[in-house]
Amino acid sequence: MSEVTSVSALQEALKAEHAAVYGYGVLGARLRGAAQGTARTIWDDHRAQRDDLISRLAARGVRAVAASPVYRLPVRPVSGRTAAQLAAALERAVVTAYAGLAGAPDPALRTIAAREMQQAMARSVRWQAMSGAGRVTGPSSAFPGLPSASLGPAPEPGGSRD
Amino acid sequence: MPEAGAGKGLSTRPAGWPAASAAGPPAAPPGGSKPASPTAIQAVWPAPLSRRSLLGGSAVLALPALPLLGGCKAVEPAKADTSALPVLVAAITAEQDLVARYEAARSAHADLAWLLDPVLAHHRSHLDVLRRHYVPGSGRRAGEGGRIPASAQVTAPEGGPGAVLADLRRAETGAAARLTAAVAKADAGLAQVLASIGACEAGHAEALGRAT
Repeated sequence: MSEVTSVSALQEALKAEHAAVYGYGVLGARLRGAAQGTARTIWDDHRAQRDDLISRLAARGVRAVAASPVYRLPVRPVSGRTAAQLAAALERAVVTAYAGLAGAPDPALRTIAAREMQQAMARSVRWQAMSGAGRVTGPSSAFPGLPSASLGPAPEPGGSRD
Repeated sequence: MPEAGAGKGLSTRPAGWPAASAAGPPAAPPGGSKPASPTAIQAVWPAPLSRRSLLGGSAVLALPALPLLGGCKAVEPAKADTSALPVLVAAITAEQDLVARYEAARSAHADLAWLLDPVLAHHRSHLDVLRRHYVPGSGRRAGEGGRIPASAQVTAPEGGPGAVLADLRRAETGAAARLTAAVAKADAGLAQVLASIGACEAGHAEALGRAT
């Protein structure tokens, strides 16, 4: 049961990595200079992370979800500014996708998820700043990747009556 | 919002991105299954977290059947699982420290309010949610070895706004790094909250670094 949960969480993270790999491939063409170099580095990081997730699924005897040939993107990258906006959006989607894995039964997977969420959030803020969004103060939400309904504690047995 | 592209279904890759144009569409991942139909368009935005993915959240909790009340007197209360309590206490303590740091910085540098106020609001939200986990309505936790220390008195570092922002950035980075390790020791629901808080703090650190 727990293995199924870990697998499904890995697959969700992989879907986001597939989309990020596709998206960076598209948006990179609209960037120049240092911004394009940054995009290329991050593109490589997402491809490496995609391959790592596929390996982890294979180790569990599971076939990894395949990339889609095309993706509907949240922002149409027609300029350097919109390319940066797209990159920020892709990274936010990565944060959300890894939030499920952060609750996986395997502690090692949780640690990976937490690390990837942090990196993606930092990249998202960086791209937001590079898009000329004005003063950037960080994430728009206090709990990136989580819906508010999930923030409450789960009841558990125990405790005292007072 | 920027020019909305949702629904436009970009299916071609612009020219001028050498590696991309050389590679064509993103290659199917090694070991992956057969790609979907070439006509398929997969919407990736928004990508909400499915309810099933929220392993420990109250939204998906399956409550066990309640025991008959008639036997309560003879039954010892179940002992709570306190193994993750030190992780929770450490997270609360860290958030208390961050709130105190931002309040001190805010008092000393009103001109930084545009940056510090939104971040401080995030940390207060973190603290509120973590405290809800600490006292989930089932009793006090201090007696279980989880006493939370009082907030430390913090003064903003000297050296001007740059020094203050650098200090806050170090604090954010350190807190986020500790949460990366903490998620391995927490239960599933708390781990997701801690991972999200860590992501938020990493985003703060990036913003502070850009403002420095």
